[in-house]
Amino acid sequence: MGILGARAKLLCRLFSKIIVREMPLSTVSLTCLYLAAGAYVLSFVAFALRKERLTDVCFYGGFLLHTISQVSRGWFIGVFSSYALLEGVFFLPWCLAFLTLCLRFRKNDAHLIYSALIPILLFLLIASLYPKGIVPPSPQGRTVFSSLFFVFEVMAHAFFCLGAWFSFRYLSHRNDTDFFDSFVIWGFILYSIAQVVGAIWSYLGWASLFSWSQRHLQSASIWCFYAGYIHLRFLSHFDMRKKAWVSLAGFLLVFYFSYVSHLREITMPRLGG
Amino acid sequence: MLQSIWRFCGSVRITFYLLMLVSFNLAIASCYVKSNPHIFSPLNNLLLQDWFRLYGKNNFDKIWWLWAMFALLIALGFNTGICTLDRIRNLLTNRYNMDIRVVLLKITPSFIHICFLIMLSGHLLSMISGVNKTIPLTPELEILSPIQAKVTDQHCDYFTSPELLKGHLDQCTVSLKLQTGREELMKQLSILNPFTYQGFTFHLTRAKKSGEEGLQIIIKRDPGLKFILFGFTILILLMLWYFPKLQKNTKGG
Repeated sequence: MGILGARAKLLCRLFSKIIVREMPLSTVSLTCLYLAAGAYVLSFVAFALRKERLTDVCFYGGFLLHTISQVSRGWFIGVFSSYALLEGVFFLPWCLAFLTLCLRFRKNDAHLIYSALIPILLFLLIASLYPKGIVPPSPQGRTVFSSLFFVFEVMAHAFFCLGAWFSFRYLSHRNDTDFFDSFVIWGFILYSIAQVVGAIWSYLGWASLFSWSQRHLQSASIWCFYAGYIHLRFLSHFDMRKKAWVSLAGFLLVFYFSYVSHLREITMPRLGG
Repeated sequence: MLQSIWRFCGSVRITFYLLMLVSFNLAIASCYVKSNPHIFSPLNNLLLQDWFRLYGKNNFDKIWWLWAMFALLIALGFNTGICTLDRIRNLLTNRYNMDIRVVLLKITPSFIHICFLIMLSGHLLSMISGVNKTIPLTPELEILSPIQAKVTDQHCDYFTSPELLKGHLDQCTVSLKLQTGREELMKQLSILNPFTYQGFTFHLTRAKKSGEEGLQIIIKRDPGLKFILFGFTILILLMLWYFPKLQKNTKGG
């Protein structure tokens, strides 16, 4: 135990010396992102081989590295930028991993839960291909409401994504549980909170709660779609399979709208890469 | 006959299809707004009726979705209203046969619908009434009678560190001398920090005109603001109470 403790201490010291002190934080962020992706891949391989313990260890390790990557991304340009930390392309995979971890602690069905590694890896792949630099912070974005807006919006997207993923599982594996419904409902609640917080931000920065712009209209479209979904529980002829299809369609809408805007942001001038 | 029409108009099935149609309409709208900024950008700075007079009248092929949206939202408003009235009436009639907690749980969706109606009315109010005036920043500002304003100071700060951020805009501040009759007041206005004077809210925003970035002041009186924020906040609080409770009850059988 004593030797193990000493080794752990040495590792920590090495980590802080090599990684934290000598590497710029932008490099720490990128290195940890790729290492996290590697750990998730290992976790997926272990999951495919039905090695539950190894899947857990690799996933927890991957999540730790992913968190370090995400937090250090906040200091990518030398000062803290909440936009860098919460930029959808990078924050969404972290939110997906976080929700998967929470599920793992709450439910026991490892096979169903770790199937979520597939969307996590898909979105991490998109993040790894995306420009890593930061869009210069605008004075209109520097309020707590903008940070809260991105937290709630991206977390809601993660709920919708997992809801769609478990809907897909439900449609393709008849024995899977139908807990995708709870994901969609919580996603809708978080998305509604994002709309209120976003409206306050919009009012402070642009003097209007709602603006006739592509972004606001798309958000309203997503909100109405999921508001429709919420009403399905009162329609007796809509069974869980039909609901699963609607949940899948909803996420396609979210994916299309959010990634169209991310694609547009690729052309923006970026700092640090 | 009348009763079945009433029931049809307030049915949840109609709600679902109307919401899907509104969602589809808004998705189409986002494409029109993106490809016709010269028509739709002014809608952010004008009241609906003024905008329609200046831009909407001659561009029906590009604004048809706006009329479709109004029609759908009015239908949704009626549908929600009828559904809510029906549900509340039924619950009040049967309240003695149910536990008070069950009544509260069952009546919550109706309260959520009332909040939604408040929000919709707020949006309508914001679009057709109040004041929405955009003024480019010049030393002597023409604001709104009887308020007079002078810009006494104006400066922008830029980042000096870290290296990567050098030269990027940090914040802009404008000092204003406001006068109404004999009353004089000095106020500082910066981006994201609006102030209220004589019932009007003053905002400093950035504006892009013919490729160049400048500053502008937006003066606003929005009668729908409180309705939208109040309605949406209560709606969320009710959902935060209702859905976990419903899930708990469903799990508990």
